Amino acid sequence: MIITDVVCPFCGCLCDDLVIEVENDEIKTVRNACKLGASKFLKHKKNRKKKPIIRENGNEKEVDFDEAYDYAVKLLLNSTRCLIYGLSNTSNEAIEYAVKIAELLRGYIDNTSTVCHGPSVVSYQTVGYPSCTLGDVKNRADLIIYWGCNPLNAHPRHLSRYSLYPRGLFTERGFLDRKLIVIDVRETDTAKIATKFLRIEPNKDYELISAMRAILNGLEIKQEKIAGVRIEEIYEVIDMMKSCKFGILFFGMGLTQTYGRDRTIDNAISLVIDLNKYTKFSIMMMRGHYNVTGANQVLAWLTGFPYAVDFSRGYPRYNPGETSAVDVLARREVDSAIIVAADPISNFPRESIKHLLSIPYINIDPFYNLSARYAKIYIPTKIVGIEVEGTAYRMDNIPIRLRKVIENNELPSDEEVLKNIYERLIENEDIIEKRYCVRSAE
Amino acid sequence: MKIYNLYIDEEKCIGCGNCIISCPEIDLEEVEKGLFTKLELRNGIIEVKRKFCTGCGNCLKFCPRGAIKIGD
Repeated sequence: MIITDVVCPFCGCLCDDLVIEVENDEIKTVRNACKLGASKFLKHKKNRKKKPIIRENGNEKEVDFDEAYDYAVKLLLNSTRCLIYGLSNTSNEAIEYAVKIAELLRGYIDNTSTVCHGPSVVSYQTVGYPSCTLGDVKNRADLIIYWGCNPLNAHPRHLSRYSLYPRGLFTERGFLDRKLIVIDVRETDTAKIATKFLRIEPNKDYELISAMRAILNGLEIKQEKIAGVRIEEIYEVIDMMKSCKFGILFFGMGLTQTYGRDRTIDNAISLVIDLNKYTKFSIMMMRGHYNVTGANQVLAWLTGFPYAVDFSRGYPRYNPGETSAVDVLARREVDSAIIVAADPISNFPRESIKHLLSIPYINIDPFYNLSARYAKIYIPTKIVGIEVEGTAYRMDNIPIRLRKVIENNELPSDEEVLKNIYERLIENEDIIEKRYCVRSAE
Repeated sequence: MKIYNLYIDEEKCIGCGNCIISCPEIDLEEVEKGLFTKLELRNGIIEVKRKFCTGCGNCLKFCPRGAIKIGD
């Protein structure tokens, strides 16, 4: 059986033109996907478990799903402050239940943007987000800038589907109608094919953006080099920016995780706003996990805030740096956690991991990853976009429905697991309520 | 017109699709319909279906990994 128009659940590009050949519920061929996307489909059976695992006194035992839900609920009822973290590799439907659990338990809820594009989110709340869709980029953009990102490694089909190569409505000759500028600290694969590559010194992004804005606003710069880039090259890039018909600035972690963080992004967005005095210019984040944008969106529409939400006062509070997962773990404020479709142990700071390992936590993930190996209880699930349908947001905030390619009747989906836990918690609402009454009386 | 062979280094290829989209010989409407008559992105790697290359060199220029070679 050949299934067409399959959406790839790997990166934020959400390529929706995959053609997959399935034989006896086995994926045989994946067409139109890059190496990363194809490997997710072809190797989806690797590193999976069929039953939940509970760890007690150093022993592991396999249990059935009902027992696992009861155990998870008991664990949550015995804790006073819970953290829900992850959510970027699952569907919006599952994220909705995660928010409901966080609200019911008056805990914290955070997604993986806290350690990647969190500063970008903070910035666009401050100065706005003059963005567009990837369709606009394909049809209109004649100047593409990649700043602090390497899409040919992280989003391999980004250039061929959306930015540099596609033949669009006003860019009929494809790459012949476009120019590519790459700004990075090293000569990446993307930089090798760029029309113009600016190599900047690490952590000097803010300086370079400020210089560009100064030039755009008519000031003269007397230094010979800014951030390691010769001033003539900066003028050349500014001329390219001012003379294009439609420009787009894509930025990645190279910009969000350098010194200045959200202030650097503030400055980059302001640069784009300044450029709009001359021509049409947009900015877009290069989102990593396929539904990290969805995690921000769902949290924003349900709580009012995109990440790092604290329900401890009974209403949503948001203060990244105080209520974000890394910080609440480092301050040892939580005594239980639910990790959904993420692997914090492999990428969180040491202090946060130390506390996470000292508390009982529930891991809900299709794959048996590093965090699952230390969880008090691990619940395996279906893979969204391969074994179950779901909705995800592309990096330009466009919702796309992911398709089911093969059957898996052995496991529940992330949504079903979270729904079961939520419903069982609701049955014990009086216990939870009593706990908060006591806490507020104190 | 001379027709060349395309050789793909499977280790180097990342399946970005730059070669397909920058090739003037490929009908992109066919690709969008799922018809792969010349080049195909199969299991994350470029696969040559039949000889069609006129040797323009666009794919060599835009392959970020240098995974393509054109020969007789």
